[in-house]
Amino acid sequence: MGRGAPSEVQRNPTGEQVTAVEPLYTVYLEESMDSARDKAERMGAEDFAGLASRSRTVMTRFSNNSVTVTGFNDLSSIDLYLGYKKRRVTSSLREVDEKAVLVEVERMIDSAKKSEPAETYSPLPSGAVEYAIPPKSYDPDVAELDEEGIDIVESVIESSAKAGAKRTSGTFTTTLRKLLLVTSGGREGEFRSSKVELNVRAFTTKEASGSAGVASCTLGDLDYEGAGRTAGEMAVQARNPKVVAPGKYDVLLSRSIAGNLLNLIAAFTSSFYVESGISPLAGKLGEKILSDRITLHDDPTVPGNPGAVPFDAEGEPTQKTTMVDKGVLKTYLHNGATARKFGVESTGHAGWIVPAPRSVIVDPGDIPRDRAVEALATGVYFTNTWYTRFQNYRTGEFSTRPRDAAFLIKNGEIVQSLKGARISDSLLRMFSDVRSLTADSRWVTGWGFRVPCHLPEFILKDVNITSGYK
Amino acid sequence: MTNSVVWYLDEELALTVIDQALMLGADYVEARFHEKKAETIALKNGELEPIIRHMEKGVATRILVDGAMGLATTNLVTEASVLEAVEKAAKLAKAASRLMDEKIEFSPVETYDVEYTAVEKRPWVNTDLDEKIGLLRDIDKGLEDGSELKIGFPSRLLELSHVWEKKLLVNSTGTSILSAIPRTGAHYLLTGATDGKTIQRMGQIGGAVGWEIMEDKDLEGVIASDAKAMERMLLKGTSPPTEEVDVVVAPEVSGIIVHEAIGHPSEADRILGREAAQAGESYMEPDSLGRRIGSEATFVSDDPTIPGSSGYYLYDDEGVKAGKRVLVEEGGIKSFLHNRETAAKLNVESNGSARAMSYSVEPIVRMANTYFEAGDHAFSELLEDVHLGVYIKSFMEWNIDDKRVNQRYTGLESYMIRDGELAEPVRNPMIETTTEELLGKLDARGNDLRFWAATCGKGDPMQGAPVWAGGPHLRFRGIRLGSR
Repeated sequence: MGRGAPSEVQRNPTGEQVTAVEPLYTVYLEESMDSARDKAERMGAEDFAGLASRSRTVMTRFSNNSVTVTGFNDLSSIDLYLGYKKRRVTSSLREVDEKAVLVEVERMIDSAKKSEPAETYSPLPSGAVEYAIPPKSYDPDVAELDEEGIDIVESVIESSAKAGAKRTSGTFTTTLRKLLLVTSGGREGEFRSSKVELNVRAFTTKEASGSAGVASCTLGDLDYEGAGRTAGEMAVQARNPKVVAPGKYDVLLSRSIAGNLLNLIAAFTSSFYVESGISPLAGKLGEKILSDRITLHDDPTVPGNPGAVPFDAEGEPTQKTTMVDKGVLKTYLHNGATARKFGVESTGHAGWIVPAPRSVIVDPGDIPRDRAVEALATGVYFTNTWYTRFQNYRTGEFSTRPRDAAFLIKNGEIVQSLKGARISDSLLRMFSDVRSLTADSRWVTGWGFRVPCHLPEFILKDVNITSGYK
Repeated sequence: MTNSVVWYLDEELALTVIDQALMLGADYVEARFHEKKAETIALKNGELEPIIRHMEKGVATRILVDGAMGLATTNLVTEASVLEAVEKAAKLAKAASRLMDEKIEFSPVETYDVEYTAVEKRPWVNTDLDEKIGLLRDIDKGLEDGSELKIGFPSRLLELSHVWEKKLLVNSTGTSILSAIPRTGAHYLLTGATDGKTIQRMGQIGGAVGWEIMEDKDLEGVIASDAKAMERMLLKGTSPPTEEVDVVVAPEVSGIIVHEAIGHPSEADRILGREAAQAGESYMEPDSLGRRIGSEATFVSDDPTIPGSSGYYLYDDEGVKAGKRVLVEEGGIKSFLHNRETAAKLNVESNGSARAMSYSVEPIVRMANTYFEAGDHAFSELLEDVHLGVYIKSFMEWNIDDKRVNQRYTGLESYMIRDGELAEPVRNPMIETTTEELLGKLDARGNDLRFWAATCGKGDPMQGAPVWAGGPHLRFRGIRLGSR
């Protein structure tokens, strides 16, 4: 398979030169995968796909300006897909020794025999493919940071405190990952990636908080001090909030809240959700579903995309996919089976069961970021949200509870910190009436959404706000 | 001792971990060997989806060094990799210890050496796949075009699932607890439609039991009843009243209210700010015990030891013996949910609320089975003196702020109450209020305690914990409802 373990020359304590295998390569998932494929084929499987992963993650959680726990997770996994007489079975294994994997292949074949043939069966793609490695996706410096990770967390807390925060909480996570693909269609791939994420929340009082979420493939690109500062500044501005008056407002959505909501719209383009009734986009292909100011992609070719991978779970190369072009729904996201059912080509978004986006990218607009509040003129500025629930996924009727700083804006200026707001509207309607977008886009993730988003900030018109406070 | 559990590891490796950690300077160490096997079978719009299987086995080592907590997890269960994890946990904890205002301590705990399990009367693994698929097909058939229903069901997602979870917890206080818990359940999302209008229902059953739950809870009957109710709401539902009315909620709605408005804010890690950047904080403060948050009719408990429940366990993941916790009594806060860390901070003993959902995560404070205690009113008695009101039987949309004050519950199956009797269907009545306002209006509880299965999210990485939430029918006086 040509999957050699990268190594580097180091000196051992006695000064001799030794070759050290990178930590990600100390477990030989390749052998288990190859054996699984051979066994599946011998037992009569017509299709086999295996995705193996080794990741080493260090997460530091902190609250009240102190570290609460630092955790290291060494995860080796093998996910398997079998097609046997058009019967389909998947298995995700967090036990990767060859013997256990081969036993699981037998059990999968046994399950398949007792199962039913799929009405729409799609053979896996075949023929060798050269995968394009997403640019700037691996930084070896994102190693297992011990002291350095604590230093970064300390910087975040200090930046937040300097901006005025009394207490700061958050999570700082670094991940190195190796991904391997083998399919019966002759597709083989390997991809190394790194990811750094920071989620920070700062408080000045119990009711006044600010937040920021940033993500990157490289340590150098992660503005962690900036995130701490932003959260702290917001927490200061959010002091002395008053209950929002219910009504319709034009709103400015920060990247965090926009990321929460656009993660949902992007997920709703999955053909699985469309078919399951968990999407307001059913039957809307080719229709204008959002404002013509919104063009939404998933694009692994964007350098430093923290969600990018070169291949999907069926071995299709990933590519730039425009789901919404100037407000028009262009495509659902597909794997081979859903594509066959819909009579189209796979978009390279398998998930053997649920096709899914790996990044959410919205083209920026033309309002300078520092003029966004001025551009809103009158309305409410929301900086974060959580707890989004739908009354009806088909209509998109939903509500979400903004959290952290929110501000009443009048004449282009912040005049009052707000609390108690609930956005209660239709998701598609909200993003159909977009006044403008800011000109700058950045990567953002958050506690409530893990598909990284590259977004500007949004000014929306006439959004319905309610409150539980009387 | 209860039923013996076959385990893939003897305790020797666990004890080696303990010794190694103590040698590295740990004041406390625990090793949790944690295994899960899961299977999901789903029918989507009448078509069988791929069968989903999942297996994981791994070890979590948690260690206190210099007052800091280190966690290292691996699913490479060899002595070398597990000991590497121990060293890593110690190293991380030492590194973190300089960035701590206050050293972490654990409350004292008794030591135990026990094994326990929950029993599947009809083990999932011994139940034929044919029977499982057959059940899904029977349910789906009742929803297809041509059934007696007067609305269509263009989208139907039906899932059956089973998780088998084994844990061996060994710690440096001498505790060893071996447990095996099966959980079996079903989840469904139905979309009803007619004349361009749609209605959706998401439902779930579950418990620490086997395949027998499908019959015991009558999954087929429950979904058929839901479909009929959806038809009624879609075809005949009218707008809710705009004036203040009395509201009676069914146990499903009692369950979501108690889970969100009392259970979560009772979690001591939230109260102390440890979950601030994730699932949030609480309106309760460390000194809130005794504070009035509801009427005298408000009685709330959480009990992990209910046999067959989704949140069932007898010892938590820190080795603390579990028992019923009274959270609210006569409207006053009686206790919080604690793990050993939060208990030590507040100078109490842990009440055994620490749970970890996988080998790869830390145990954190969780609810198990949270409920309003039953009262003494029959359902008819709750209705009889309501002149004008709304009965909310089930819900769809809900949310609450992250301090657990400002909340919304939007009814799905709902009816007017007129002169003490249930009357016409009502569409989307919405309770949108604050915790103290809502609980302050609770004036009577039914005698019919029931539970619903749910999955509760918290932590980072996110941990979805199986829970039950429930209560009896509840009556609230003078609520102004909103509507979609």
